[in-house]
Amino acid sequence: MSRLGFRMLMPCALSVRVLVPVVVLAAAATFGGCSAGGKRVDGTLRTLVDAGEFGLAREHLLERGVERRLGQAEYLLDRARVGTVLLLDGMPEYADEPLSQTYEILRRQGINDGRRGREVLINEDLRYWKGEPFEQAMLYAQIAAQKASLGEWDNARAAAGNSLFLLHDFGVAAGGEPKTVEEVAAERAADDEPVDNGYVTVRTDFALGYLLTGIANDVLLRGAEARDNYQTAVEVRPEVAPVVEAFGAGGWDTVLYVEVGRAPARVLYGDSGELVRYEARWPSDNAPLGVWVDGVPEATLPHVLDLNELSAQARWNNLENVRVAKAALGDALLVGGAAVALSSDDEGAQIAGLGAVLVGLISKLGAHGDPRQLETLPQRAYLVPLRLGDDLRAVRLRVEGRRPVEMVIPGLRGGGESDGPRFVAVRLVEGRGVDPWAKHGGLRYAPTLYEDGGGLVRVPGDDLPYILGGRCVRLPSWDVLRLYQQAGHFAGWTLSDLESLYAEEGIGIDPSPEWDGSGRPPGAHVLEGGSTLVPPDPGTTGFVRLFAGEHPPYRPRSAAVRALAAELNRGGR
Amino acid sequence: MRGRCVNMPVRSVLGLVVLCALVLGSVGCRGGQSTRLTAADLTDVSAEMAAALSAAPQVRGRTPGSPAWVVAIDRVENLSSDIISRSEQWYLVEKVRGGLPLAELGRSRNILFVIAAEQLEGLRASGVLGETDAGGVRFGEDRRPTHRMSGVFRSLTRSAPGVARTDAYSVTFTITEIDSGEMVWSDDFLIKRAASGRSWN
Repeated sequence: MSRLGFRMLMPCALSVRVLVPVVVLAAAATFGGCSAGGKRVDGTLRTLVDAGEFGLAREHLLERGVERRLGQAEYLLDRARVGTVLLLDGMPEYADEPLSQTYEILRRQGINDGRRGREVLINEDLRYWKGEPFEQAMLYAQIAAQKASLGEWDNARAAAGNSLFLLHDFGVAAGGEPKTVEEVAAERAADDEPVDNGYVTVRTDFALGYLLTGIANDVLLRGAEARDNYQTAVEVRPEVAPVVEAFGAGGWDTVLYVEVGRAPARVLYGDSGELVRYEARWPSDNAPLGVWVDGVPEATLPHVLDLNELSAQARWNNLENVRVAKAALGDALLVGGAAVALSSDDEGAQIAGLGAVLVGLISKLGAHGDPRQLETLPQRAYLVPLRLGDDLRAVRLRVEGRRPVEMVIPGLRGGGESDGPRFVAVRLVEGRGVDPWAKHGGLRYAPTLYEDGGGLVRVPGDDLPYILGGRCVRLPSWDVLRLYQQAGHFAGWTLSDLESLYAEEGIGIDPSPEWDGSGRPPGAHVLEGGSTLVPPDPGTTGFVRLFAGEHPPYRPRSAAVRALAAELNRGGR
Repeated sequence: MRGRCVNMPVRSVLGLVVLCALVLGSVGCRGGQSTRLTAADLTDVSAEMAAALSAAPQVRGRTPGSPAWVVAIDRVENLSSDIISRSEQWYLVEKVRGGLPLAELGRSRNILFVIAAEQLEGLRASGVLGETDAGGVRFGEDRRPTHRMSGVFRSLTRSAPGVARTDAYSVTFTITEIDSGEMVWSDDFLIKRAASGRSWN
C-alpha cells in the first residue's frame, strides 16, 4: 500500500502530538482493564479448603468450570486445584486423572521460555501458569502421595524423585538464612543488575521430597536408596532426624501424611504491584504432631515441611528479574518515547517515539506480578509411620502449636502384606463447625460394609438409607439390601429396585473413577447436599468430615422417594 | 518546534501493528519439551524385545516338538524416574504377549505366553482385561506356567542446571525357569530422551 493509499484510508491524517495522547488513553483503557482482569486467587476455593469443606470445594470448582484446553494459561492450575482437592477429600482414585495431567505439564520444560523479553511487556498473569518452584515441588509431592494412596509405590517413588530438582541459590543473608525474595530484589535493584545473575545451582533442601522418596524405596525393598534419601533429608533439614529414625526402625504398615494449616498468600506489592511476596496465613512454629492409637501415645514427630519458610526464600521463587525490570523499563520507555515524539522534527524519530510510548505504556500498565497461586496447599506437613495391624483402630492426631488442631480417625487399619503399607493423606483444619466432626471419634453414618473382629460395624439407624431418614450411606449392593430387609424394610425389593430409587433422586452410585464418563469427578456427597454416594477413602479427612459429622435430614427430590419416606414415617415398611 | 502535520507512513504503522502483535502474541500455550516415555517408546520396546527373544539361541534351537514353555508374564516394574501408569505397564505386557513374533513362537517353538494368573484376576475385576483378548483368545490362565517373564524399567537422569535434561531409560526383560530358578534369557532395551528449556518455566 502506498503512502497515498494509506492517506486515503485515513481521511483525517493525525499528527503525532494528537496521536500520543490518543494512544495513551486507548492503551490505558485497554490494558488497564487487562491488568485488573479475572486471573485472581479463587477466594471461594480458599475459604472452603481452609474450613475443610473439600467436597464443597470440589463442587465449586466443577460448577465454576475447569479449564479443559491444554493450551490455555490456566490449564495446569485448574488441574492442580481439582486434583489436590480430590486428594484432600480422600478420593485418590478420582484424583488420578487431573494429577496425571498435572504431572504431564510439570514435566514439560521451557513452556514459557523464549518469552522473557515479551513478559516484560505484558502482565505475568497472562503467562502459562506453572507455579513457583516451591509449588512445583509440592505438586510432585502431592502426586507422590496420591500414587502411594493407591498402592502405586513405584510411581510414588518417581513422582517424589521429580520434586528434588536443582535450585538457584542466591546465598545467605547476614543472619545465615537463605536470602529472601525481597533481599535479593533489593540488592539487584541497588546494583542495577538482573536478578538472575549471581546465583549458583545447588541441591534442593526439600526434605519432604527426600523422605517420600526414601519411604517409597523402603516399600519397594530398595534399602540402599531408601537410606541414601533418608540421610540426605537429615542433611538438608536436621530437624527431621526423629522422623527418619522412626521410619528406619521398620515394622510399619501405615504411613500418615498429615498436612496442617493454610498456604501463605501470594501478595502483590510495589508501585504498580509488580513485586510479589508471600505472607503467612498460618503461623510457623515447631509444634510436633502427637499421635495416639486407641488412646495410647504412639509418636511425637516434628514437621518435615514449612511452606512459609520455603515461599519466602529466593531460591524457591522465580522470575524476580522480570518483575523488578518491568516497572523500570515501562517508566523509561514512556518518558523517553514521549520526549522524542514531542520534540523531534524528524518524522521517523517521531514515529519511533510514538512506538516507545505505546510499548512503555503497555509495560507500565501491565506491570504487575502474577496473583495466581495454588490455594489448596498447606502451611506444613508431617510424616508418621504406624503399625496398626488388621483391626480397626482409632487414631488421634493433634498439633498444639500456636493454632491447635486435632482430628480423630475412627476405624483405620494397616496395609496388608500383599498390598504393602497403607498410605493415608489427611489435612487437619480448624474453623467454625470443625470440632464436632474432627474430635467426635466415632461414626454417625455408615459409609461402607466395615467388618471388625468378624462382625459388621454398625451405626445406629444404618438399616435404612439416609435418603429415607436413616443413617446408611452405603452404596447399594445385595448385602446392603439384605441388611435393610433384615430390619423389615424393602420386602420383595431387588437390588435393581434400590438402584432405581437412587437414580430417581439423581444420586450417583457408580464408584468407577472414570469421572462419570463426562470428564467430571463426582461432586459433593449427598450428606453435604450433593448428588453422589461415592465415599472418600477410610481414614481421610473427607471420610471423617462426612461420616463422623452430623448432617441435616435429607430432603427428597423425587416424588417416588418423597412418597416412600412419607410411608416409612407413617410406620410403613 | 514546528507544528507541521505528520502523516504516519505505512511501514511505521505496520511496525506498530507488529509490535502490538508481538506483545499480545505471548498469550497462550507453548508446547515445551519433555523426557517422558511415550506410547511409541513402549510399542518400540515390545517389538524389539520380541525380535530379540525370537533370535535368542535358547529359543532358536527349539522346535514344535520341544517340551512346552508356558511363560507367565508379570506386570513390568517401574524403577525409572518417570511415572508409568498401571495401564501403560499392562499395555506393554499386552503388546509383548499379543505381538506377532511371540505368537509365532507358539507355533514354531512351542512357547506360550500368558498373563500371570494371580494378576489376571485383579485385572479382570478392575475391568482392564476381559475374558479374552481382542482376538477372542483366552489369556492362557488354564495352563500351568513353567517360566516367568519379568520386566524392569530403570533410568538415569542427567540435568544441566535447569535448562536441559536427558533421561536414559533401560528396560530389562528376564525369563526364569520356575522350578529351577534358572535365568534362561535376559536382554536390555534402551530409550534415550532429551529435552531443553528451563525446567521450572
